[in-house]
Amino acid sequence: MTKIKEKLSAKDSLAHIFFSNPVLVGGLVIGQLAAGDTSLQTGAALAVTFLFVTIPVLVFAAAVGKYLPRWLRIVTYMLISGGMLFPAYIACSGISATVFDSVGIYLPLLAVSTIPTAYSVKYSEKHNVLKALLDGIALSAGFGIVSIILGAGREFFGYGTLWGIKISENSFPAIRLPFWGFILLGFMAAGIGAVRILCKKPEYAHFGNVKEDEV
Amino acid sequence: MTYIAQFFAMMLTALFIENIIFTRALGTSWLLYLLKKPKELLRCTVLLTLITTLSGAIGYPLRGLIEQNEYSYILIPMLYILCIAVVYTGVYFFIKYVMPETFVNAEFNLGAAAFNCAVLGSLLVPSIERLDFISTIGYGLGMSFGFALAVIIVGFGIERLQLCRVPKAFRGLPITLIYLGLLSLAFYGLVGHQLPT
Repeated sequence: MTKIKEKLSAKDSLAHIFFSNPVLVGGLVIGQLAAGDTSLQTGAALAVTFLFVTIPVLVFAAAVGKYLPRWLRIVTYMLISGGMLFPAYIACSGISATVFDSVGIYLPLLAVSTIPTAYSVKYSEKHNVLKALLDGIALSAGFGIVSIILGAGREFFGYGTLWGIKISENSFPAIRLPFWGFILLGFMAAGIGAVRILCKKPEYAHFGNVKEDEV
Repeated sequence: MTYIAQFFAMMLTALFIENIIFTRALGTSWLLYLLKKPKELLRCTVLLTLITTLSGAIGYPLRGLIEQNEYSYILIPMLYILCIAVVYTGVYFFIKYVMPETFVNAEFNLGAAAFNCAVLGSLLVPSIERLDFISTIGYGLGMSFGFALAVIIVGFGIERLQLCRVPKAFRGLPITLIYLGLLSLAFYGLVGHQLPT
């Protein structure tokens, strides 16, 4: 039997960077990374876009969300995250001229990923603004670290390049296909699991921020 | 007759050749959530199908107005988010006042079923491939059924994995992702693709 209890401390927010990573522990925003994150540049673009769409939604949910009618809340969050795609695109255009073609539909899909849709409704509305801001920064950092490591690894082993610069003769293009994305994310998640077991840290459940204690 | 054939051809394409989970990797988080709550699958599939089809039908004529715009790659996702918001609001109030008993259980799932990568992805792919109205609707329906098919296939596999002695670090999410990757590879081969060399 599993008992779930919520901790609202800053320490738990910072856990989103590693032990409660939204991707590798929470199982969130998997698809965009498995299929869209195929190079260091796409990883950086996804990380920047995630930051732009997540923080405003979580902060808005904490500040105003609870005063809105229930049906309007998620609609407002989605319109905010959709609107934040505009500045995110401007920021990403500095990374590379072809980055939008490389990421394709996976960049705008971040606007409706699980963090702005479900996390905001389930948790941020119950938090204060500071906690939501800290959550947003830590979730973005956790997501960014995974997307950059995965993108860099796939680019290096797939084409022997990093940020488009040739550094080895590796050639394994299949690593850029979605099934390799799932497999690599699985191994990265197992790596975090192994570190957690070695450090005797508590287990975090799907959605993160919630500890599962065996009773 | 041609339209019916076109409709079913696109539906089968979205169901098997471009399966939403195994080929496009859309809605994976939603799949992981439903694996823990299998009783919700039927209700969520119905909501997903309804919202995808209605949003596609509303968005199709509007898409034509902004397709030629220089910034269409920014405007089209925003347009579809607006369409989904309109459909979500309609479905929300319909269920609330017509089926109040269902509404109590469906409220949280309704938001998550409306705004997720599976729905927006099902609308953006036909838009990028410039499919016509019949194909767009067929594609959306095929995507929704493909999602349900993926949840069922992965669910059966996870049940069997729970009977195996999986190393502690791999239990839960890691082994599910690796299994998902292997299934995705199987689908990739099944539809006749060859790995790039």
